[in-house]
Amino acid sequence: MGLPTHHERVRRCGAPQCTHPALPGVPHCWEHVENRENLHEELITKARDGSLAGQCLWGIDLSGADLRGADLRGALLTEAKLQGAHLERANLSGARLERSDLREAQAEGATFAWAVLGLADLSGGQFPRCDFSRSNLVGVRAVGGVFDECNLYYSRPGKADFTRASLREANLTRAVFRRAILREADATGHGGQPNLDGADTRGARGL
Amino acid sequence: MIVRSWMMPCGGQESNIHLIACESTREAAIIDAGGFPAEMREEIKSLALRVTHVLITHGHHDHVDSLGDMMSAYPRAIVCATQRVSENTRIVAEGDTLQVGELRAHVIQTSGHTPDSISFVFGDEIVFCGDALFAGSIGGTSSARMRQEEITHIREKILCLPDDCEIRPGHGPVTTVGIERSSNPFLE
Ligand SMILES: [Zn+2]
Repeated sequence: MGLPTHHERVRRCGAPQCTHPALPGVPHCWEHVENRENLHEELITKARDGSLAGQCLWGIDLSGADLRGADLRGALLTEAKLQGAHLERANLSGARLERSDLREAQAEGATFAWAVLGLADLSGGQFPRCDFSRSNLVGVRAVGGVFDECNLYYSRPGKADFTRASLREANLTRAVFRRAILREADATGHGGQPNLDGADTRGARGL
Repeated sequence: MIVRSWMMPCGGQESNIHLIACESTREAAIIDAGGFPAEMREEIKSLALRVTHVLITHGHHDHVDSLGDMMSAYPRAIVCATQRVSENTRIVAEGDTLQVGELRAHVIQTSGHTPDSISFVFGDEIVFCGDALFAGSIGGTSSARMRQEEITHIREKILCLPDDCEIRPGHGPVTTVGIERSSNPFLE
């Protein structure tokens, strides 16, 4: 930990009444920025070269973008749209991703350690071999997502919805699935003892 | 503002130690002292910060064990706590405010986990809540009455903050007011 975070050098969006932080290098947030298409390309390039670590990217739309291996440690990605994005091997340690849209994201081998993913939608996403250790997964929707061989050590998936998700051979040591939905989930071969207080495991395998 | 957190193993647990600093004056506060990681000392040095405060959320050992080492390193820092825990202690209680450079913190009482647990709220942006509230959980209490007291404090003083307000607890991942208000199984 000790990661750079989005709290530094924060500038607010210049649009009247807007309270969102401005994107790096421009005076506005994603909602109010002009010339979005050029900025879109520029931000993808910056994400790949590592200069977006710890930056404010609130509400940004990078759906379907190629962000393989991107360095987004500690970035503010609240409500970001990353549906179908390629995040294989990306580093999102300590990033704020709450309420983000990660449906059908392709993120094999990515790092989400200490990331805040609460209320995000990971449904249908491919997250095998990801590091979710000590991540905040409270209230996430992960229906049908693939989390095989993931490290979920000390993560907090309370009230999360993992219906039909695959968690085969995942490390679930000290993961707190309190009141989570794991109906028909497959956790065959998982390691460790998760907390399943009040969880719905009907039809689940390996739990 | 500058915000960092570190985790230290502490008696089978993992305790978080936080740092918050004013970008313009470089004055800094450390929150809780369950450890004093070398990485934190290095970061304080490399960012040219001056530690003026150590804020203690409650007196359990996994939050104060390294206070002595911290005070040897930063002897002029003021320790803000509800009880005298060190020479330079300033006793604080709900309603008190502290100034860390240009950052202002409000002390709120969040008792329940211990009878005198407090949290530190920096504007509408960030809360250091010790063991009162965790991502998807709340602090352990010794009785049903204390548990109710804890839940009432959380509801009335933390969940009233804006959705995006960050919560940095004493253990486990960071969370936000919006996440806990919507999905904390203990706060329905
Ligand atoms: Zn705006």
